[in-house]
Amino acid sequence: MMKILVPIKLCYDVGQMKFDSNTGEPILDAVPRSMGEADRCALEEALKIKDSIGGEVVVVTIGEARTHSKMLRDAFAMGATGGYLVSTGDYDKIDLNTVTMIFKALVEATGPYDLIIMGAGSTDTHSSLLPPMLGAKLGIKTVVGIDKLEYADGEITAVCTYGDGSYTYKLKPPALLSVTSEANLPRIPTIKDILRAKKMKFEELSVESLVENIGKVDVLGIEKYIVPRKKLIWEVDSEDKLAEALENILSVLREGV
Amino acid sequence: MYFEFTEDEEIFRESVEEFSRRYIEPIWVDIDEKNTIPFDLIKKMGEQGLFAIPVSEEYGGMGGSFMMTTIAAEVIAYYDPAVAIAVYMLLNNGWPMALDLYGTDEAKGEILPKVASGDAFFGIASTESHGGSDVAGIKSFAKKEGDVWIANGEKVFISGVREVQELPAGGGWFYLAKTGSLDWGHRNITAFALLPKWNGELKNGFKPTLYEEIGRGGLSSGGFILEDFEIEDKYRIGEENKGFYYVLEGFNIARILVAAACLGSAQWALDQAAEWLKNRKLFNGRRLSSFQGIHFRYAELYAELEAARLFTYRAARLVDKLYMEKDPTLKPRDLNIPVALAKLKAPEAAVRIYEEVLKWYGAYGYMKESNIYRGWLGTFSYVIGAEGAQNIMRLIIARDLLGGEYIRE
Repeated sequence: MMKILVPIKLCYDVGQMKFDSNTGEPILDAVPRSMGEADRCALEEALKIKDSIGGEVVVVTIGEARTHSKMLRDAFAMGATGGYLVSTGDYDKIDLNTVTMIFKALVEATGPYDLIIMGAGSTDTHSSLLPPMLGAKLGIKTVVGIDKLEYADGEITAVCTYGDGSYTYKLKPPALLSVTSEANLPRIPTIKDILRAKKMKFEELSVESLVENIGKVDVLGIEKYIVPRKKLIWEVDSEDKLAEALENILSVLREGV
Repeated sequence: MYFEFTEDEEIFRESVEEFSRRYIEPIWVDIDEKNTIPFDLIKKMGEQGLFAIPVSEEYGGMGGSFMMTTIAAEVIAYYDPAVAIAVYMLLNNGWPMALDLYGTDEAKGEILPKVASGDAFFGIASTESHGGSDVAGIKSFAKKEGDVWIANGEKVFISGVREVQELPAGGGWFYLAKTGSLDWGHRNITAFALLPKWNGELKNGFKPTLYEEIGRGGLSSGGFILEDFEIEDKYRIGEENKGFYYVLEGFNIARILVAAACLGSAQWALDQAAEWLKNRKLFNGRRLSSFQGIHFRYAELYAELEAARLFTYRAARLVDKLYMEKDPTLKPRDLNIPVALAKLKAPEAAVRIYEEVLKWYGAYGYMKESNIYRGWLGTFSYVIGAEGAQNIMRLIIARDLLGGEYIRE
């Protein structure tokens, strides 16, 4: 029976972020948070496999019950069969290496898993480093940035679009796969799914029970990225010069204004 | 009063938002233009569990809370500010809930699962040509012959007249007729589930007419004449000659949902306006949002909307306490003032917001292309009186505060 782990992250909705007009820093308290878009697609891929051949889909997140329980229930409502909350109050400060070690320890403690499917990057920080790091630490086959995923007859077919073209991989479990937010249109839980999920429970594990040394990174400041703008004017006084001006505009656009 | 949503209500809100972004937002203007909600959208809403939300699972409902129903009406109206889809949805929640409360087991088992799936419509038919507020003065009459009631009379300004005829299973309305005598008064009215088309079959004695409305295009409005229309006794709702009391409870339920739809639509208008005010520049490059006159009005309108929102949520919580949790300290009449406050304030706040937003948009707001007018016309229906006239809300509040005996001299 297939057992799949889906790590999920509570992400800030960057589209609704407001910034302090004096310091340029984001006002995070007022920003709604929910499961990352690519994580939701990862969960959808896991659920599709479960729907076709049966099995378990277990979600895991690092955080606090107060803030993270809603996201876990959201995952249950989508169809996850179980979940873990690795509890810590400092979840925003834990460094990436420690996050990797936490998930590795959790896999060893609660596995084995046939597949680990996760979002290629989080909606807010989007470093995309966690999937390859976790795959490397676990020593399992890893494919990252999957836009199309299929599972049939015990074999995974993964299509990734990288800078130089489209790559198709075929592999068998166990494996770690990271999917992009292009991979699918995730299911929307119905009201009955939500009411069913209300009765489900997730298991809490303390972060200290999984790793001894917790590395932390303090974010000293975040500033709004302001795209520098140039104003360029081409004056065209005759039809002959129109083609030349358009060529100039295109060349600037290609370079990036 | 401190207010917060439960975790499952928040997840539900997000799910309805996602559903509406995917399937409603891209087509709401088209629906308003073409005056019809596509059946595949109605079916999708049924599959998503957006009909019969507060109806018990035993009868095919979702077994959800009334607060969830209220949230759904508000969210859907945000993505269809012309409010046709939200009103379609709320009718098919509020009146099925009223049927679930007082209908016979047989009628509930037959009707409610089809409404829940989207295959049938179930709304309200009470208004007659002499005026919707004078329910005690209705002239429709039903006479019992054996196990069948023979109904005659005319209803006007009824939502869903086209949908009942076009949906695969059909449907109908929570219908009121005099059964004791035709005298003016409320103690001779009986409620029925009237099903002019049922299981795909149009019944004899039903003569519908369709009207053309100025707003809320997706949902049909019309009237019908019943001529010796037969209603089986199993479709009687509650006791004979007590229909007036049941319909008042139904109206209280529906009014909260109507208020929620107005809130969603008005919030859309305010959000559209915020973007406009922040980006529209004039008088040597000043943003409209930098003018203090705009700040004052924007804040006032937001305050009105938030006040109406709290009235609406409080009333919804009371419905859950009364009907779902069966709080023994509450009675149906305890809803009267909280519901009337929500229904009084939400549509008026919405219309005021639309009128101001249209002015902020200037000439562009007057263009069809801006689409602002669609929400204005849609919500205006509820200031005029759909689901209860505003002056009736004022009467309810004053009567309950001052005492009925002091206002009937």
